Amino acid sequence: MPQKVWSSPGNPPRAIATRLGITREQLRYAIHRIKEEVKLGPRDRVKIWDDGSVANEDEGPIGNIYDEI
Amino acid sequence: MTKSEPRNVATYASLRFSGDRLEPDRITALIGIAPRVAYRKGEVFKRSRGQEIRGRTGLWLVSSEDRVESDDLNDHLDYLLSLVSPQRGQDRLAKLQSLLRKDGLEADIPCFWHGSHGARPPSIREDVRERLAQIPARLDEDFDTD
Repeated sequence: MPQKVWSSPGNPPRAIATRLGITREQLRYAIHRIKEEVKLGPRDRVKIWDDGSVANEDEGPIGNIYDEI
Repeated sequence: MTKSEPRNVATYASLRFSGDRLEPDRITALIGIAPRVAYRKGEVFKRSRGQEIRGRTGLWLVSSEDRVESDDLNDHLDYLLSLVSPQRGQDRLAKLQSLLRKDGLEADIPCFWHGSHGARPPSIREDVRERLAQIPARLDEDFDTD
C-alpha cells in the first residue's frame, strides 16, 4: 500500500524527490503543473504518496507526479 | 578554473481563468487558441493515465511552455500578454474585461521557476506588471532553487 511522504504546505525538500527517484526540479515542476490545472496555488497544501499520487488537502486525487515528467 | 555561474534550469508561465460560471468556449473564442486544459464547474475532466477529476470551479488555462524557448520569465509573460493585447484585435482586451466582470471570473498567472543553488529569482519588468494589472491578472510566483 502506498505510503504518504508529504503533507505540508510549500515545496517538498530534496529528500522527498530522492524518495520518489527524481530530481527536486522534476518534483517541483510536476507539482506546479498539477496544481495549476486544479486552481491551486504554490502555497496550497498537497499530499504526496510514494507511488507518485498527489491529492489535495481533502485527499481528493488531483494527479500523479510520474505523469508530468 | 572558474566556478560556473548558477544556471536557471526551468521557467514558464500560464494564463489561467477561473470561476463558477466559466464557459471554456467563450474564452477560447476570445483568446483564439486552444487551452492546455479547460472545464466547467462540476465537469469531469481526464488527466493523464485517464484519472478523472471533477472541477471544483470552471477553469481555462494556456501555458507558455512549448511555445516560448527562453530562460527569461519575462519572455514567457510577454507571450501570454500578447494573447490579449490590443494588437491582436482592437477590442480584445475590452471584451475580455467585460467577460471577466459579467461572469465573475478571475484571471491569474501561475509562474514556475527553478534555479540552481545560488541563482537569483527572476525579476519581472514593471511594464509587464502594468499590462497584467490592466486585465487584471494576479501573478502567482512559484520560485525556488536547489
